[in-house]
Amino acid sequence: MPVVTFDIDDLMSLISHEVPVETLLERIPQLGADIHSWDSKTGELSIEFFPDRPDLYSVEGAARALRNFLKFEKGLTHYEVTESDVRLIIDDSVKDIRPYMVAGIVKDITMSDELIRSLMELQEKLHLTMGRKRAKVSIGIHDMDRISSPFTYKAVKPHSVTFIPLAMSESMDLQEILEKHEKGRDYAYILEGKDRYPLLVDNDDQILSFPPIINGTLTTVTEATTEVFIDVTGTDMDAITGALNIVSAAMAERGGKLYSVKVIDQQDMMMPDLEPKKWRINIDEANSLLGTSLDGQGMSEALEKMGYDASPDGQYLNVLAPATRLDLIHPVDVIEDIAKGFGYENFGTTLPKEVTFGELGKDQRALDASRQLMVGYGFLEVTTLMLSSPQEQFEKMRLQPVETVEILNPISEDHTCLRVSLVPSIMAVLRRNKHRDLPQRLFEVGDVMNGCKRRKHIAGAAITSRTSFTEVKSLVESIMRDMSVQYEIIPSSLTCYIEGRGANVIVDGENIGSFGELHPAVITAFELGYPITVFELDLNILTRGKLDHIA
Amino acid sequence: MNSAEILAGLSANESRLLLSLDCLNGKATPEQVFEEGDFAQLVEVMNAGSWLQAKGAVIISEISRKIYSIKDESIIERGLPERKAINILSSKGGVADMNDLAAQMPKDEISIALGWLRRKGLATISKKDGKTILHLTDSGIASVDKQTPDELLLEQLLRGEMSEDLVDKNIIAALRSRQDLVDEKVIVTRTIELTDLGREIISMGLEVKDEVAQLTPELIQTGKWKDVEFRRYDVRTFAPAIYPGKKHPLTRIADEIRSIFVDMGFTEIDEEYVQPAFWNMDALFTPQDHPARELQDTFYLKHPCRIDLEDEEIIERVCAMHETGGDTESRGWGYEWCREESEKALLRTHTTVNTIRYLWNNPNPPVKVFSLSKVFRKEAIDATHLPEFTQVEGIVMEEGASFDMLCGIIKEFYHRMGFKNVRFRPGYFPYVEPGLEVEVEFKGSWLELGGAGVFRPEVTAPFGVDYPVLAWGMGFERLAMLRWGLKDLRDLYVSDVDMLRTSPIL
Repeated sequence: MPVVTFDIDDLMSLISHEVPVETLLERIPQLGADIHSWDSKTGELSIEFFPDRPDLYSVEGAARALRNFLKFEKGLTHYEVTESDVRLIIDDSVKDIRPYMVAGIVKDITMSDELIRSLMELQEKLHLTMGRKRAKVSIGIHDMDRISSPFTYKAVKPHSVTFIPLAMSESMDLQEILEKHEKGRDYAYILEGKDRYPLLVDNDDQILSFPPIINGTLTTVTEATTEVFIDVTGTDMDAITGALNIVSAAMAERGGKLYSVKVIDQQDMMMPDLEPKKWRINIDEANSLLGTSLDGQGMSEALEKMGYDASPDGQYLNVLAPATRLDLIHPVDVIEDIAKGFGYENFGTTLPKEVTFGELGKDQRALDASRQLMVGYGFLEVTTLMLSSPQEQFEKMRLQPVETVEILNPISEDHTCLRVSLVPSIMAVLRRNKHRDLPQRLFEVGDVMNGCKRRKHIAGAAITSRTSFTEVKSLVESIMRDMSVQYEIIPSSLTCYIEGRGANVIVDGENIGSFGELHPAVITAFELGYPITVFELDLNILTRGKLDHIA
Repeated sequence: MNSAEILAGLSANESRLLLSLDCLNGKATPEQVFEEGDFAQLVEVMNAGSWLQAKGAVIISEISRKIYSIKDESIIERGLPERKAINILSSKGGVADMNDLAAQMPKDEISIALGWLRRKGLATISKKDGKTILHLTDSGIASVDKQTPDELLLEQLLRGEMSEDLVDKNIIAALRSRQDLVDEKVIVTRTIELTDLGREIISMGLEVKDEVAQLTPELIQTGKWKDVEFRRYDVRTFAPAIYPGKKHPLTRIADEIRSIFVDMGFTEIDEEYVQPAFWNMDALFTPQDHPARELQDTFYLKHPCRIDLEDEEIIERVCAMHETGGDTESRGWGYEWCREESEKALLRTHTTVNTIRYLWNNPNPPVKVFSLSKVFRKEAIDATHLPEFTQVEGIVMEEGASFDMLCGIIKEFYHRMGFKNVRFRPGYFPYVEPGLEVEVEFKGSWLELGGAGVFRPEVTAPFGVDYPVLAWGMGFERLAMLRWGLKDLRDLYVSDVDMLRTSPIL
């Protein structure tokens, strides 16, 4: 989740009220965020916001929400957008490349250190989260001083134009930027396979930017900048207009005046569109979902604390939501804000009313019974990982590989498949414990894979200076007796055992597992130096038909 | 233990030893005690001594001494090589040529003789006209008729072994440096001495009782037990540790959680680890471009790489939900849903797969189910991350289910786990709304220990579920780490056997 770092003085001045830091630290989580860290020396407050609330990724947005939540202000903040004659033409050529661009203008803005820092961080967080690393949304901010309307967003051949990108001193063509510029290399993946690249130019064909890669130096924003042009490109119209709203609103919070841009696309649009979004909430449904008994007035007050305007209208609540709230896609999203405004500390007064009867999972009795037995034999239980590797499962065990569930993107060579057998996992535990006192007797009951399906196995291993086939045979026969299983023991051809010292267990003509003395090559493959006997049996078959009844 | 307790618990041999020592003026070697005749074997004296020392009634001190003896008597009987040389030189008037010596002595002894003559200062060796000439010195002449000090010592040793305090250190060292001449062995002498406590016990009227240590079948069956006295044991004395077989700490805590759920009327459910993305993601309204679906977060499979989806009607409804919000009030994600993406095979990343598949087959209330099972996420292994771990998840769906009820049941659940103070704050989980995070008070501070929420209508509507589905969950290993005070997750899955042996059950 995105962590945003604020300067406490800047935050306080934007809240425009004195609030003790302790109160902030206590209230911010109740608004919906985690305090990541607070450093009273540097005055830096880091907050982890939830990924559905990009409107809070700036100190301006967070301050706005806190002014409401701490009741310094009530209801919706209105942002005025004055119409201007600036136009942005969307050329058809971008439709197959990166189809959408919207834009807005902010005038009379003072580019203070705080604002520049905040805008950079906001831009970065938006790119990373809702922007999906710029693939879905990318934002450019330009000084308007040296450019003139109308602007055109178009797609051009990679080598057809050159300009000086930010952080460079020489002109480069678009392909060169993708290959040589740091940002070009980072984001080239977005344009992979395209024969033309997006470009934003002004009336005189001056290049503002090469979205979503880099701006040109022509429009670099400096402390002297008073008028900015914000462009947002992307693949999702809702996402880019939302991002434009969030950036515009943040700058308006700093005293900037918003002006619109006429975006000329298949249909014309005036951007940014900060008109509040209307929602109609059924009061009964909201109470029923929350388990509350609030009236329309109470719900309105809760919503006003969360930055909405709301007024009761019979059984309904007419709600105006900020245009920066991109997370609202269903009435339940507004209802959650009623809960937050009402206060999470007030919930938890009822319990389920229907009578139900609890029951353990169907395998639990089998697992419990096996554990009881193995503990009785003096074995210690281990619980090991499902992730394993063919080396561990087959090679070290001197066994023929069988089909496994294979991971496409494993974290390491040791975790490339799901196990088909428990014994190698137990051997890995013995390996870790090779310096511990012997004897060690370990068992596990748990999952192995049979194709794509889980099966329960029971397995054990004993390592001592003198261990014998008879010992493990006695153990297996005792398990069979205690689980009331009729069985037959026949010589095993499994090569993990010393020849002539491995046995298969047959139940109803089916091979359900094996036991024996491990071959020295297996023991040394697991870096061990003492004799080991093991067994592994299919627990589902051992307990088949015995778990459903008491009498 | 006070002296009366010690007195009462003394064995017959311990009493015997104390009394013997008393007779031997309070201090004796075990051999001396043994000679008194009260003990059947020497080893019994030492055993009793060790026990008494543990009780503080005696002190056993050890002195080790070196004892020297002749290794090979024949060498001495033949005479040392340098003695032979002196005799030859003396017969030649104190001066002789090397060749004279060589004519009268075994070859292998000549160089030995020369070496020692020089070292002992008995003769000088010089070269003259290409000849090697030996001259007896004054002390060489003096020793013609008199034994040298080392010869004297050897003669003494021939009569019997000698302790290190009776021999000259330098002489014995020189002799030890020669082959096959003198043997050294170390002898430890122990002395048992009464302490003040020992004397006090004796003065309290100590007597040797004929006591039985071991109760035998014979004593019981013959009735002899009536006539004997059983020795009292020191019940405080050391007994070796034994370790039973045990369930793993994770199993034990899982059992406890399962029983809390069952007591609260919940039924356990589980499903396969291998799932198509559809059940793990799409059915839970996770958009197809969500970061959690990327290769860096989720384990996708090479084999099988895709899985057929089962229920065309459900697929259609889920697709509509993603694209437009279906027939709910939702706007959906507003993109084109891709079936191929949802058929990708993966290892489930949460137990919510169990829940949604259960609701698919059981859409009618009441539903109270839980999962306690493994999930997989692409995490590199370190002290706080594992690529597979266990999730606990509880689900309630009934008429009248609400967010308030969710908070209520979570409180009850956590109370039953022993957390008295539970509080909530807003939380975000993609498939629930409203969502919350659970915090519990643990050892004086608030700890985040789980998340919860009401399933979004976009999740439940395709399955025909008409009532709110309340869900809460938590990481199970974290609970186990808190419980057992562990710092490293890996200890739970590749456990230290000693940790398992000694981990307390309660």
